[in-house]
Amino acid sequence: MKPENAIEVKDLYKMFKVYQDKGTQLKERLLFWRRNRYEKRQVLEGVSFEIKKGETVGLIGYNGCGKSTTLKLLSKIIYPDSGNIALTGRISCLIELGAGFHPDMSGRENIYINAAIFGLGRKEIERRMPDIIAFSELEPFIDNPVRTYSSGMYMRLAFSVAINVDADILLIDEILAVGDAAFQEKCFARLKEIHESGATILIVSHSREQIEDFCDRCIWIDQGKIRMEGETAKVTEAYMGQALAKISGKKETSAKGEAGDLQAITEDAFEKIPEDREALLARIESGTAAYFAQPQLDACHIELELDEKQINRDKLKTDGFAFPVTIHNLGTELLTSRRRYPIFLSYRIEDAFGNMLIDGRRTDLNGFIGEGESETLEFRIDPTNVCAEGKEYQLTISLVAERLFWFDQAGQNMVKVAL
Amino acid sequence: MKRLKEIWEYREMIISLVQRELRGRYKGSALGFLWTFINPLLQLLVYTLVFSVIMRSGIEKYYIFLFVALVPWLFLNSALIGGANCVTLSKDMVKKIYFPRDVLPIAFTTASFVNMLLTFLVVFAVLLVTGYGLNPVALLYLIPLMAVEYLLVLGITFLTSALSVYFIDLRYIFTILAMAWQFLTPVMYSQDMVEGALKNHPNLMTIWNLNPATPMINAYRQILYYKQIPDLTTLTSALVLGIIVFLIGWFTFGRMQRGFAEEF
Repeated sequence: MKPENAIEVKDLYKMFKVYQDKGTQLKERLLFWRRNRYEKRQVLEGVSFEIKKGETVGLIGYNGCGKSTTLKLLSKIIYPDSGNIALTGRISCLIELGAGFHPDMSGRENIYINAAIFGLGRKEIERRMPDIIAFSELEPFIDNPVRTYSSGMYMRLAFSVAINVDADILLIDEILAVGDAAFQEKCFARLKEIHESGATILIVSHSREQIEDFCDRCIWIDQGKIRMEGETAKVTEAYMGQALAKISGKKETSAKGEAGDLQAITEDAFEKIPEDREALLARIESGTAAYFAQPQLDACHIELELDEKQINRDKLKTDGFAFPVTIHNLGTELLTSRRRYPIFLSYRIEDAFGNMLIDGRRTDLNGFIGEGESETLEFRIDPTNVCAEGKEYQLTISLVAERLFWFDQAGQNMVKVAL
Repeated sequence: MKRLKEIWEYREMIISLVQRELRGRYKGSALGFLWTFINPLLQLLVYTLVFSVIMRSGIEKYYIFLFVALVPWLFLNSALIGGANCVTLSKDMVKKIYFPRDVLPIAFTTASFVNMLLTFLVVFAVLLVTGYGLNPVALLYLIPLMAVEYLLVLGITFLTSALSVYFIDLRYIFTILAMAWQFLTPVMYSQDMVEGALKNHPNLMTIWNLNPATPMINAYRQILYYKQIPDLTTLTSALVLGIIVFLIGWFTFGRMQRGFAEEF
């Protein structure tokens, strides 16, 4: 292993057995000793990479491409069929937080057990205990059993332990959605601190923002192989381009479908060179280029028409809760017409404490709604099963554009209704 | 060596798991930890009642004869009954986080071992209170004997816990096996009875003596019931058999643990 490297992975192969018939597995095991029906699925096919000490690297790829498997292999939860993995230093895995928590034990005892699972000794745990508790902001509840915690508190406790063990290598899998926005901010700040202190971090994330914000380098895994490796911006751009081509259903026509051949046209390119618009459009049509841009939802707004705020309960039972929603100025020409980004209306009903009772989406939006134009959708929701009579609820309607990595919301409209 | 070193690094986890196991066992019951002592006492009461009143056996003070062998037997038994499940029960942890998997059987065996030690306090108390008495010199031999038994039980737990991850049905088979094994070990009867019965079958006797539990139980009985220093042959065969079983368990577990996370 090279001294400057923290992680070295060479020719990793991993196959999983996917059992076709789990139900009869027990019986089959008894009857046909070694003849189980399963399909072999090659998850990793010769993955090799090196990560230097102090680097922060992002792993991207579609679901099922082998990112999480790579992380699990690195953390030694599972073993490769062949290939070598070398890591130096203490590893902290933020893969599944809170595994090993015991619900009947207090927060403090669980910190103890959890830190022990990370391989810390008694003295070390005691030394870190105040930091961990302070970070979790759970001081008043720390001696209560963990089963009394809310799921947010639970995750905060778990995250606080994992992030305070002074690891040399941090493996992170999609866990940055911890707690409220303020706590998330704190986690990011702490991760940055850890990064600056020279730790090596490997992140799997679907959030392009997180990856671009954090990572010096990016590795794109596609169907068990490394497709591209390098500077974060370049890799994510190529990835998005390919992802878009996949969504639009067009084959990558040019030379053997290499990633670099597909031109990813950004919004900037579109705006800056208006004279090329036609040419670019033609390329998008033919599938040699993919357009990705922010759907322009800013100009649009939605209108919610509820004539009576007090709704007749009997009428609710027979007709449901019906109201029209009108969308104005959905100026996302390219996107909606080509259906690259699905756009839909989301609705939800919450009680006074913010608990979500009903939610759903309407995808039957009628394509392009130009400037000054509008479209009306009729909504019909049946709240009688979940909403108590006469109580006040909040109805939220918003227009959502599904991006590759996240959702964009616009024109949110909230109304209080008594059902 | 690397494996041993890593287990040592995770000793804190073992300790906390043992504590959890011991404390959790009687959690929620009114008498709590006291059950550790009450349970064997009540058992002893039943045996005394049955064997000295109803089913009189030819052995003098049969309840003590039985009790001093039954307590170490139950520790051994735990490897087959509870020990088989110790990895499966922690599958959420095994699936999600890394730690040396050896920690689980070690923690389970240690907790059962501590439980046996506590029960032995009851055994000593009974021997003293009833005036049966103890031989202090012979008692010293209990220490290495218990250490060897710990090794043996750990080896079996390694085996049963690893195997039952792959073959779920085994845990039911282990229950039957535990019963059969108890009857094939001189727990409820004496070694002399077997030697008498197999006098003309030296080959069968050799096979009989290959049971790793046999010299172990015999040695316990020699120390506590007969108040003698155990024979050297009994002790050596207990040690040799214990080490062999331990090594088989150790290496089997080491090989099989690689696939644990995928099996769940």
